[in-house]
Amino acid sequence: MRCVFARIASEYSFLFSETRPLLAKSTHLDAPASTKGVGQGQVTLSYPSNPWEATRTPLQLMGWRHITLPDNSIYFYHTTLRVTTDIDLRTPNKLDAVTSYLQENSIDESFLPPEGWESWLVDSDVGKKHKHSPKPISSWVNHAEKILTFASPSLPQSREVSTAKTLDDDRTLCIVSFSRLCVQSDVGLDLEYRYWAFMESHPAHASLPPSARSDAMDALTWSYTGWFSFMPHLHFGST
Amino acid sequence: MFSDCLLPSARPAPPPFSQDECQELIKLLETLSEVISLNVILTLTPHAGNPNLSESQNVVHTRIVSRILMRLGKILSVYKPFRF
Repeated sequence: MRCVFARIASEYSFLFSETRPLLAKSTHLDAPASTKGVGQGQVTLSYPSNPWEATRTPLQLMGWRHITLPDNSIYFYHTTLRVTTDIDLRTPNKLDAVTSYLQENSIDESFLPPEGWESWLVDSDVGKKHKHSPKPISSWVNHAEKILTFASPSLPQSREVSTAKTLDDDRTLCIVSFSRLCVQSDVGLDLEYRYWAFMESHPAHASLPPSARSDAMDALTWSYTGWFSFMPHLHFGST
Repeated sequence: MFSDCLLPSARPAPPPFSQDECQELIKLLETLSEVISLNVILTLTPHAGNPNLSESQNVVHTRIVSRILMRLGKILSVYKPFRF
């Protein structure tokens, strides 16, 4: 009887040992497929030297993470470059447009997001009919500060103004300065509102800032009690 | 609106959420936080917990918190909060 148990134990040892694979390693898989049937008029196949590479899409090989949200909306995130985009990179001409945009702009130091920032690429021509390829434009997101801005964080304010001057568009400069003056106190509010709109549509690649949940719970609690106007520590947009 | 920041209302801000919304959202956020923290504990245990499930719960949690704070921002752009 003991011999029978020993035999069963040895035959079905994979059931008891997590270190042994369920399927025995197939030796013929190790040989390149291109060697099969060579010289017999058969179609030759080849796969990457690393079998795991075959399961990865070209997008993943380029460093892009394809994110599908519960409502089936999608977006893409590049972990190394810290770039998020809504442009559908599954379409080859859009992928080419984004890749060449990133390559062209990566020469400029002000384009690369500094530490703590990520850039968000959107198609400026979205909604236009009969267009051939997207025209990406960048915004910058800072999760720690809870802001989304259209001005590059690498550019000092003076440089931004000098850029406007070189455009020889004084009217634009006046409007920008006036609106800055008028909305100075509301700039933080606006930047933070834009940040939350971004997080709402791109919730999968970055975690919430630490105080976000407690801020939301505070707003709900004070609303429930009917004393919302007197809510202390209401620091929305103060960053 | 641009004029909202130029001419903010002097009236006190109305609550951004109705009482029913508050109750449901507070309950939902608390449940989600419990589930997420439970999943974090489970993922620390080998062969337990579902990382995909945990990720989708995080997505839902992030979306709800973001929407709450967006509503708060919209109200605050029109009404100035009372300052002590």
